[in-house]
Amino acid sequence: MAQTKKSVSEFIQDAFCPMVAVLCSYDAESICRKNNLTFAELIQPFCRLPTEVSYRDPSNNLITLKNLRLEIKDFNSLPPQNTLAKKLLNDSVSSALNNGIVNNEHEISTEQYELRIRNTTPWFDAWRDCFLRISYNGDHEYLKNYLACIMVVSTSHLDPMDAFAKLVQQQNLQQQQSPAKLPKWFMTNIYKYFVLLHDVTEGEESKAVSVFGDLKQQYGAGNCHLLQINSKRAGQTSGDTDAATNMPDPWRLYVKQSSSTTQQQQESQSISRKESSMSDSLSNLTELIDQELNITTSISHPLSSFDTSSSDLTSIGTTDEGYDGSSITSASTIIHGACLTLSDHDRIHVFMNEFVTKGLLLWVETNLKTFNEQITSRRGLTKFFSMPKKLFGSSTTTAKNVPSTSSTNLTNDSMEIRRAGDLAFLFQNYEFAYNNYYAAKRDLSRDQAPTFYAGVLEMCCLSNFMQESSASKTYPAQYMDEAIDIYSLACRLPIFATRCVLMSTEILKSKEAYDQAVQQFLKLSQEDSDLRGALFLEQASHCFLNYRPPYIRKYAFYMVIAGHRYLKAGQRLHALRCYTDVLSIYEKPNWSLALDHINFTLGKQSASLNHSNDAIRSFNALFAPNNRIQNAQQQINFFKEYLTVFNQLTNSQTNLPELPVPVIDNSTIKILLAGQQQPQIGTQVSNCNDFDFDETRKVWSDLERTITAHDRRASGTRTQINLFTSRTHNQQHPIAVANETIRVEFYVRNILQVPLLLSEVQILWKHSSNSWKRKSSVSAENVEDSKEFTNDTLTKQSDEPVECDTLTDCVVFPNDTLKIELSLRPRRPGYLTILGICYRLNILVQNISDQTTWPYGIKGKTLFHVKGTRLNSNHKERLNVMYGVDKRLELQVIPEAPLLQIEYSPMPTAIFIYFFNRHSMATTTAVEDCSSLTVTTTETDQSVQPHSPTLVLELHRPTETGPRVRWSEETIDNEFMNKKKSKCCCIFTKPHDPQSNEDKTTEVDEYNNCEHCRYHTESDYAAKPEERQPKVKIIVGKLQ
Amino acid sequence: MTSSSSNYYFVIVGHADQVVYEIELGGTTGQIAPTTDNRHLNQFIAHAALDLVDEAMWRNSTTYLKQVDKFNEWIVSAYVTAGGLRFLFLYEHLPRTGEDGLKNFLTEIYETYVKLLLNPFYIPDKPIRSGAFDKKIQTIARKWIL
Repeated sequence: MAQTKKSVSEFIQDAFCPMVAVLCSYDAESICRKNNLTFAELIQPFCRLPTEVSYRDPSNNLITLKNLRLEIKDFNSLPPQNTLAKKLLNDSVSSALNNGIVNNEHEISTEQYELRIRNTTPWFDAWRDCFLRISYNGDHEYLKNYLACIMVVSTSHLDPMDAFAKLVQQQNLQQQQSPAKLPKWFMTNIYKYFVLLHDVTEGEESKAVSVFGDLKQQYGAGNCHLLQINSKRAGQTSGDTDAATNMPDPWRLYVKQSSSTTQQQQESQSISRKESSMSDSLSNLTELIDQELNITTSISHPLSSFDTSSSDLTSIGTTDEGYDGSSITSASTIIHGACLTLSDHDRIHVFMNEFVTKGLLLWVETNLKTFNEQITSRRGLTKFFSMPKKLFGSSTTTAKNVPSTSSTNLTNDSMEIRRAGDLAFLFQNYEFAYNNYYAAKRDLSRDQAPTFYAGVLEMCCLSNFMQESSASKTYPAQYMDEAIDIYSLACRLPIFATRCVLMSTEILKSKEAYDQAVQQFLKLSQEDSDLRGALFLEQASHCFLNYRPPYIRKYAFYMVIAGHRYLKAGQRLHALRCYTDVLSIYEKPNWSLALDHINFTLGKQSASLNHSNDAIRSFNALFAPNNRIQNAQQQINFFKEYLTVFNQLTNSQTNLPELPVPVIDNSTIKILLAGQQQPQIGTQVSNCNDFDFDETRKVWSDLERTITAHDRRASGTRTQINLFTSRTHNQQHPIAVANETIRVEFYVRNILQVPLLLSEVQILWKHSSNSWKRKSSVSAENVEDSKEFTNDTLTKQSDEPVECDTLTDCVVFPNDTLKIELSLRPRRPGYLTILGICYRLNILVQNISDQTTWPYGIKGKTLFHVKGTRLNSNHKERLNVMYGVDKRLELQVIPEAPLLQIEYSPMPTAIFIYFFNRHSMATTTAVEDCSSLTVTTTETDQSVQPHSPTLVLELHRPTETGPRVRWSEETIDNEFMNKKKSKCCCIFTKPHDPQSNEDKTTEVDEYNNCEHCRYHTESDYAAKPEERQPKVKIIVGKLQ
Repeated sequence: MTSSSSNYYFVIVGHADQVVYEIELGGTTGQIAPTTDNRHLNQFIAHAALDLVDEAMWRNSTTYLKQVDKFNEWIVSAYVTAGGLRFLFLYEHLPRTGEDGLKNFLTEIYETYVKLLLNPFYIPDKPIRSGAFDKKIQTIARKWIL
C-alpha cells in the first residue's frame, strides 16, 4: 500500500504553500556565499514555522495556522524545462528504489495466496514530490504565484537605501512587462519585505543600526528586518572539526532542492540529530537531485543572465556556475553554513517568525477583507442583473449572451473570486476558500472556460476535504472526476490532471474509497507518459489489495502491466521488481502462458542488467518439464533469446552452465565396466546389447552358480559385478581398471516442441588422483587435488587422467526419448566421479529466414542425480521417504590389470543351451603396454602362459540326476480333435506312477473319483454311468 | 458467419485457481485459433477476472454470470458450476447467437463436464487431457458461438 509518512491533509497543505520570492543584491549574496549558500537556500530550512500563528478572517474569526510552511525561491529561478523535468522525474523514481526497504512489508494471506507486500512505495512518493515541485502554474490559478518578495541588501553595500529602491524597481519592472514572464505574481500589489543583512564579523554594527533606522522610516517598521549572520569565520571551523560535526546541517536536504517536503526538517538541534540517520538514507537522493539541479541552472543560465544583465544586479547565473563547478567535483564534502553559529540559526528563526506574523499575515488579512468586500458587492450586482434572465427563461438569453458580451466580464469577476479563494486556501481558511470556489463554479459553466472550471472544481474538492469535520457538505468526489476529465480530455493539460489525480486519490484512500481511487488512477494510466502510467498502474494495483476481500489477481495483472510500462519508460529495475512481486501468484498450475511471459521478460531484463543468475533462473523456468502449452514457434523464439543471452552471460564464467533441456531420465543410467575396448556402436558381436545384461541377470547368475559349484577353489573367488543400474545394489563403489573402457548409457527426453541438436556430447567427470580410502564417505572428496573438467578454461591436455569419447551429433525429436551411450577411459588409478554430461545445445530449426544470425549453440552441462532404492527396513524408513546411497557413479580406478578376451574362431551361427560341443576359442589377455605386470588372475588357469595365452574351455552336458517330466516324442495334442467331452468339473488325476506305462483311463475310473466334488449329488454316486444318459433324454422329451 | 472473425478463449479454472482446461476457439472453423504472439494476454485477463467472478457469484443466484469484467476491448463472461468450478469465456464481440447463445454454450459445456466427472479415472481439479472432451467442446462451440 502506498502509505506516506504524512497525513493526507498535511500532504495537501504542503503541496500548496505560499510562495515567496527572494531578490538579493550582489553584496548580500556574497555574504551568504561564505556558507556555500544563496540567501534563498539559507533561509529555506527555517521556512516551516514551528509555532502556531493566527490571523483574523473577514468575518473576524480567528484562524490558526498550524505548521505553516512557506516556499522560498530565488527571484531568478525558473522551473526546469520539459526534457529536464522528465529526466528529473525519471531519476527520482529510479533512485528511490531502495529507500526504506527495511521493515517495510506486511503479509496478505487468503485461502489460496500468501503475499508479502511492501507497505510503502518510496519511488512513488519521490516522484510525486518531484512532480509537485517542478510543476508550473497554470494561467487559471494563483496557487503557485509569488505572494511576496523579500528584498535583501547587506550593510556592506555603499548605499543600502538606494539598493533597496533599485530592487523594488526591478521587481516592478518585471511584473509590468507586457508579455508576462516568469515568475508570476499573485496580484499587482504583492507584499514586499525588506531585509538588511549584516555580517557580524565584517560589518560595523553602528552602520547597520543607522541604516536599519532609515529603512524602518521609509518602508514601515513591520516590513523590515535586520538579520545578523556569519558570527564566526569560516577558518575557525576547519580547525575545530568537532564543532563542525556537532553543528546541525539543516541545508543538506534543502540545498538545490527548493521544495523538499519532508516533514522532519525541524531546525532545532535535537530533532535534526535524531533525524540524521534518516537524512543519511536520503542523502543519495539529494545528491542526485543536486546534480540534476545543477544542470538546471547551467541550462537556464543564458536566460537568467539575459534577464538580469540590464540591472545593476550581478548575473546570478555566472556565480551559480562557479558554485556548480565546486559542487560537482566535491558534492559531498561541501559544508553548508560554515560561518553560522547556533545563535545565527536562532536569529533566522526569529526573522522568519517576524516576517510571517508581523508582515505577511497582516497583508493577507487586509487583502482577504478587501476581496470579500469586492465579491459581496459584485455578487449583489450580478444577482440583480441575473434576476430578469431567470424570469425570461434561460434558453434564449444564455445562448445569445454568453459568447459575445458577458464572457470576458464574467471571467474577470470569477478570476477575482478565484484569487480570493486561493489566498484563503493558502492560508488555511478553507471555509472561506470553499465558498469562493463554489461561487466561482456556479458563475461559470463548463463550456465557457473549461480549464478554469476544472481548476475550480479541483479546489472545491480540496478545500471541502481540508475543512474536515466542520465541512457542511459531503465530499464531492464527482467534482474531482469531472475535473480530471476536463483537464485531460477537453484541455489537454495532463500535468493538471495528474495533480488532480494525486490529490484526489490520496483523499479517496483516506476515505477508503479504493475503487474510486483505482478508477482515477486508471484514467490517467493510458496517457502519454509511460513513467506516470507505470506509477499510477502500480498504485492502482496496490489499491486493489485494499479491497475487502483483496483483489489479489487484479493486483497481479495490473502490476504486470505496470512492469510493462516501466520497461517502456526505461526503468528496468522497477519493472523487474513488479514482475518478481507477482510471479508467485501465477505459479498456480497451468497458467503457463502467463508465467512464461513473465519469466521471459524477467530473464531478458535481468540479462540486460547483468544479473546473470536471475536471468538463468528465469530462463530455466521457461523450459520447465511441466510446460507443454507453448507452441513450437514461441519456443523457438524463447530458445533463440536464451541462446543469445547465454552466449553473453557465460563468456565470463569458468564453469559450464547447467542446461534445462533435454531431461535426463536418471533412473535409466547404467554403468558398464570392462566393456569393449573400442566403442563399437551398432557393430557389436553379440546380437544383444551389453546393457541388456540386466534383463538376463537371472540366467547369468544361475550359470555362474553352476560354474562355482565345479570350481575346486570356490573360496577364493568373488563375483565382480560389471553392470550397475538402478536395480543393482550400489552400496559399494564400482571398481574400474585403468585403461579400460567404462561405458555409460542413459536416456534423454525432449520435452519441447522443437527438435534438439546435441553435439560434442561427452561425459563430465571428476578425477582425483590421491589415494582413496574405502571407508570414507561419499562426500569426502579431496577438492584440492581433484581436477574438474571444464571446457571453458581448460584446453585439452595430454596428461588428462581420463580420456573421453565424444559423440559428435545427435538429434532428439520433440516429445521423444533417445538412448545415448558414451564411454570414457581412466588413464590413471584414482577416484573417478561421473558428474553428468556436457554438450553443445542447439535446436534444429527449419524454415528460419535468418539462418545466418542464428546463435551458435551453447556449451553446457546436465548433471546426473542418482538415488538408491527406497529404504524399507525399519520403522523410521517406512514412515519417511528415504533412499539408500547409490555409489554407481563414483568409481574406484585400480591400476592396470590384464584383461582376458575370448574370441571364437569361427563364430558359430547359432548356439543353443546345452548344445555346446567343443569350440576352440582363442583367449588373449590384453596386456598392451603394461607387460611388466605379472598375470595372476583367477580366470586364467595354471595352463595359461603369459605369452601364448590360449585356453581351451569345455562345456559339459549337465548329467541327469533325477526324474524329470517332459514330452515324449509320440505325445499327441488332442485338443480340437472332437474328442468326447465331459461337463463334469472334477478332473481325473491318475495315481502317479512313473514306472507304469499305462496311459488309458476308463470311464469307471472317472466316476470313481467324483466323491469329493461338491456338484455331484448322492444319486450321482449311486447311479451307474449308463443310467445317466436317459435322464437327459427325458428332459428333452418333455420339451417336445 | 464471416463477420465473426474474432477469437474466443475458454478456460475452466479449478478451486485452487489452477487451469483445468483451456482452449482457444476462433475463426469460422471452430478449430484452435492460429497462434498469435499475445496468447498470454488471454490468460492474464482471465486470471485477473477471477476476483470479480468470485465476488459476482455470491451476488447472483444463477450459474451464468453474464459479463463480469472488461479489459480494454476484451470482455469476460463467467459461469460458475455448483461445485464452485469457474468457466470463463473471453471475447471481443458477442458471438452471433448473442447472450443466449453464450449461455447455452456454457451450459452445454457444463453438461459435458459433468459427464467427464462420471469417469472414475478423472480426478476432479486435475487438468483435462481427454481428446474426446476437446472434440466435444469444439462441436458445442461450432453450434453456438461460431
